Amino acid sequence: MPGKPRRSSSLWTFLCSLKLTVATLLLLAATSILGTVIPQKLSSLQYQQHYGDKAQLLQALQLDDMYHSVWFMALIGLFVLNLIACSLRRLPAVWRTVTRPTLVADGVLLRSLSHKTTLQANCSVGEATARLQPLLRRRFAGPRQTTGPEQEVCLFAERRRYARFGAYVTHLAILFIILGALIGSWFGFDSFVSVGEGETVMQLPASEGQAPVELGFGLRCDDFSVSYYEGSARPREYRSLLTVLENGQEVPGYTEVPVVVNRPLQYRGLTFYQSSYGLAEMPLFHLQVRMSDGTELQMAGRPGQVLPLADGGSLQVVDYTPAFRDLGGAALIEVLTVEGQRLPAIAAMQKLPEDMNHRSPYRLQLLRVDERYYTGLQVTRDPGVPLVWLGCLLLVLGSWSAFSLAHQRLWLTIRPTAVGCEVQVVGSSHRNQPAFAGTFDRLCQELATELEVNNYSAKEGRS
Amino acid sequence: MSSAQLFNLATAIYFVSMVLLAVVMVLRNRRLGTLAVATVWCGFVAHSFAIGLRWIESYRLPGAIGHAPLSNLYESVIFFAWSIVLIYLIIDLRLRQRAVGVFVVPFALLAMCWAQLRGNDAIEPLVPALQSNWLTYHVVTCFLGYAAFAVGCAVSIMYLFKSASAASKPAEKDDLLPSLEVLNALNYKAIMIGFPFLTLGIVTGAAWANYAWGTYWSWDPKETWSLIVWFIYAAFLHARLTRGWSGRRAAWLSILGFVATLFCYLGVNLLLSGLHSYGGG
Repeated sequence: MPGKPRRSSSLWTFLCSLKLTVATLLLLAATSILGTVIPQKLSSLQYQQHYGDKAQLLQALQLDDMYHSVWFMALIGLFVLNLIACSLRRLPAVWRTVTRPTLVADGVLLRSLSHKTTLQANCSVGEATARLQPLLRRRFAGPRQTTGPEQEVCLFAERRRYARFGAYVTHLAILFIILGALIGSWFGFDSFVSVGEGETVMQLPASEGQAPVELGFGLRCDDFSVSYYEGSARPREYRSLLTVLENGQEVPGYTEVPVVVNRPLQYRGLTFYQSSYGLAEMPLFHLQVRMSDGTELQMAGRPGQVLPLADGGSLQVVDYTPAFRDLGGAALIEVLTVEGQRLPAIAAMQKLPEDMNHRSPYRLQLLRVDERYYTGLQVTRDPGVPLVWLGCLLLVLGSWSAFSLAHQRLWLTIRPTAVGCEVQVVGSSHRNQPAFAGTFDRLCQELATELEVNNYSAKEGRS
Repeated sequence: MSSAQLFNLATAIYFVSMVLLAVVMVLRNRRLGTLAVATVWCGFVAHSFAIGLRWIESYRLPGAIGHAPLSNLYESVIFFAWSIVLIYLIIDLRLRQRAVGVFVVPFALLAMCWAQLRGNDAIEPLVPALQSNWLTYHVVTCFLGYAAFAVGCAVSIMYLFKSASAASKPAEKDDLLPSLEVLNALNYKAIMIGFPFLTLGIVTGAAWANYAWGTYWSWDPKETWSLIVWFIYAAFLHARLTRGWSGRRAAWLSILGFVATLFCYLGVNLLLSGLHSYGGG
């Protein structure tokens, strides 16, 4: 940086150094471990229980939420500054190499490159040029023809010159991702809402330090269901049917939309994810009771509720299981007889064999259970996501091209000799030298054949 | 034949090829070398068929929808071994450094044995969270990355052996292993293959997380460890551009990277808690 004061130039050198890059990356790696060992975002009390006296130190160092701590952010900031500085410093030279290539192979270039050979041909300079041009175009890349300082013919061809930008695309991608993450944390939010079957929500409940968020539309849960794999307790699918309401009216295309894990619902910039579920209220048990005098009646009640019977006794649902032996769902009922005796009894979906029905004066059968679920939905808005994805795409393309694509260049200098002409071939590849050596040898062999140079051998020709 | 039997067969073939490769390294016999690599290919083919067969078997489960065999610890270890052999064979095709196999094939063999002895090989239908095509993309890319790092680690161990023996007896010409330059280049090559795959693995993981949970990054231990691995290999790749970081230091950094990779893969599930489910398997 000419013309800058010395202090800023030493800072600039520091920020541009690759040693700083390596140090920052290793420091980021080492410190990141802490947050995977120390549980994050617990309450002060929980840290007190976990770590005792050390809890205060831990919180002072912001290790309770270390990935958002000042010092971790500062480390990432240093990483970003280093990345920008390194790129800015090296990019101009790379830009020049790509946009304004050296067309003539001069002495300096010749000495610095290791792939070179010379062919002696019997034809004139003009004829050699005319023959080699189409060959290069076919087998390597279209050449550019110029005239050197000694009136020699110079051909220059290159391919994959944009491979030089791979590393910088990767760096830019990282900036995009970090910017996207910042936008997400400034303008986005995530929340959680539970909606009972048949209910409609208009706002998202308040989360820590935030007021409730008005949705601006209604979201109704029409149904929630869990299905299991055949003959197993392993869940197969959690499914909510959701309907969007605008001013109380169902929105076409957004009615009874099935939302399952891995298939969220998107509406007006918000995304709703199937996240959890539970019972919205105590289930309602429908029972059929046959009294001792033979009369039958049907009644319904929730657990804990006392259901009085005509003869002075009463029933109370105590417990429920969805699968009791081979009798389907069954409820455990407490029977209070007229005499004041408490008896346990079981009411199952299918008729129980007589002997299992205890000595209760009533014959009980479970007709059905009405369970009303609620569905738990994760709700997010993150305007930074598109930028993050753009960054990710560039990151993948950039890191792939930075390591697997090589910028390959070829210089041919054709000079007249006593018997015809001499073709000097120089090649360079900005990475992956062994692979390029093979390409270069094959190409020289083809050039020799084209010029009818009989005694050329790739092995001898290379210097 | 069931997939379990085919996996046993592949493991046995890998064992034979490892013995052959060791013999080749000592005798330096070219034709035997070809035979040894051919055995690795046989094992690889059996291994591939076994994975395919297991995939088909998953469709035969009652009520199941079928899924790529990448859903629990057993299946992932098997796929890890497969990826290691794949990366080794690719490098062998391009560079023909037979002796590298002696150090690489044991990694795959070890993984196979561990899966067979410790893993639970029952095929289970997918829980809702795993029912996504992202599962396949995410696991395949991550494991190709891990496998390339395993190869890099194997080559680095060779490098350290070689440089230690070269230092102790400089006069004696030690021909059993490829030259230090070749090993150094191989290490770099392996990590150059692995790094873009790891990047893609992290990106597909983030995409899936965003799709399934509504957030592309939540500093879950698994996510964080994958980032730690990424940082280490990014440091490795940049360190090479500075002076004094090739050779032994690069080899150690590569080994450190692979230790972090293994912790990310197994340690996080077995020792820490998080969202990746196969810990108990």
